[in-house]
Amino acid sequence: MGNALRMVGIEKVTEESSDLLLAESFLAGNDVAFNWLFDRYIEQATSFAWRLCVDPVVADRVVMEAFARLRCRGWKLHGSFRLHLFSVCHNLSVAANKAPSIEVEAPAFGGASIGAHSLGGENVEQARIERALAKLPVQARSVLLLYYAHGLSPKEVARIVDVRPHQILSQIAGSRHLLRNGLKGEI
Amino acid sequence: LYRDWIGIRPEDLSEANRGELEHDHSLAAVHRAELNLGLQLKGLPPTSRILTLRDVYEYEAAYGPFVQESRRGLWLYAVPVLIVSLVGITLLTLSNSGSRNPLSEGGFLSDEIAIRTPTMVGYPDAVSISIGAHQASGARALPQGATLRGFESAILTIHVAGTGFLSLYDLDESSLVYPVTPEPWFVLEGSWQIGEDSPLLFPRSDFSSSRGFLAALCEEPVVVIDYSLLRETLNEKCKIGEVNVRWESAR
Repeated sequence: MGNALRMVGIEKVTEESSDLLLAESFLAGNDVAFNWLFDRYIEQATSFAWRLCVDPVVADRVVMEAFARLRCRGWKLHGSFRLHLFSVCHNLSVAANKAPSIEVEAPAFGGASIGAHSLGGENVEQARIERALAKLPVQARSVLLLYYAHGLSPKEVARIVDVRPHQILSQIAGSRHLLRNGLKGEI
Repeated sequence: LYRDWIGIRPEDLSEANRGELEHDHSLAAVHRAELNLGLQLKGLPPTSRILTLRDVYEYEAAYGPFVQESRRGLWLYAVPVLIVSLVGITLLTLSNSGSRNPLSEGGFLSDEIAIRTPTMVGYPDAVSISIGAHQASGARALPQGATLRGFESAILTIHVAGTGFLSLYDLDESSLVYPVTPEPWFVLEGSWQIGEDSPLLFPRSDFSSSRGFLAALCEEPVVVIDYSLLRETLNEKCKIGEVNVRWESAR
């Protein structure tokens, strides 16, 4: 694979190139390719992490650490870049949820004060869903968001949340059932 | 009937799922409602602030670098294991150097030892069936070879030496009597009354004054398809015990 990666030169990729090309180009040494991948997925990754972590400070740290880890090039591409990114975000978010004592005192990067933002659910119904979603177990939240909000395939979701492929439809159905029950309590 | 595919996206439905939805309108309505609920998550707005690459660089500078640890030198862990193994083998070799195998020794006891060794206690009777008689007033043990009264039912107890999958067959009806569920019945050494808490009762048949039963203790679950070949099927990997329950001719 090493030789194949070196063939993806800087001049061969553009901002519109596929994830695979950009990822291979980045792994071959092209930092610009990573910047394009970052621009392409930062919004999705942030939304996903914010809804998994609920605490925006922790969520921001999860996203920054996920991209910082991907930037170090110490990984191999198994599947799509998006799958890899969501896997890292999921694992970091689950770890952060398991350890509520995680240090949340984050420095104010880029001049912006982290923690002063909110999820954008202005619509009443959307706000209701956000509240119900936030009360679900993190695994259920992750399954629903990956499958419905981010459009990953059942097989990809199974790989990220580490369940057997034949069990993922049950996980989706069960998580949706929890969400529906949660919505009944949200008026 | 639980269907885990209800509410999944159209592209993930199988042909069979689509067929079922086309034919069952109430199921299709439930599916649409569940799918709509899921898709509401897709409509949730993004976060109001988006991080920048500069944030990532600064985070990396503060907490990084996030370089995966290299796994070089893993073979070094094998060195102490190898040394300990070699020392152990050497010690065992030295400590056993003066010992002798008793069966390889000559002498007047050698034949006796050779004959006794393969004989395992209880092996020939690894599976046996004992019979009890049951009637409205209670149950009684039945001496070996005795017959039941016409109105009594038989209660069977299987005695097992060893472990394995146990099953009981009715030889006259050519059927599996126990276990009644598809799960195989794994037993340890001991005695089991068929039916446990509520014993299975085997009444006298209208057509015959005797019923034959066969118990088999097998190394692995055995499925008998042709009961005319029952013994041949079981004999390969099973120990077998049989009993013939006899009733007095008058009921």
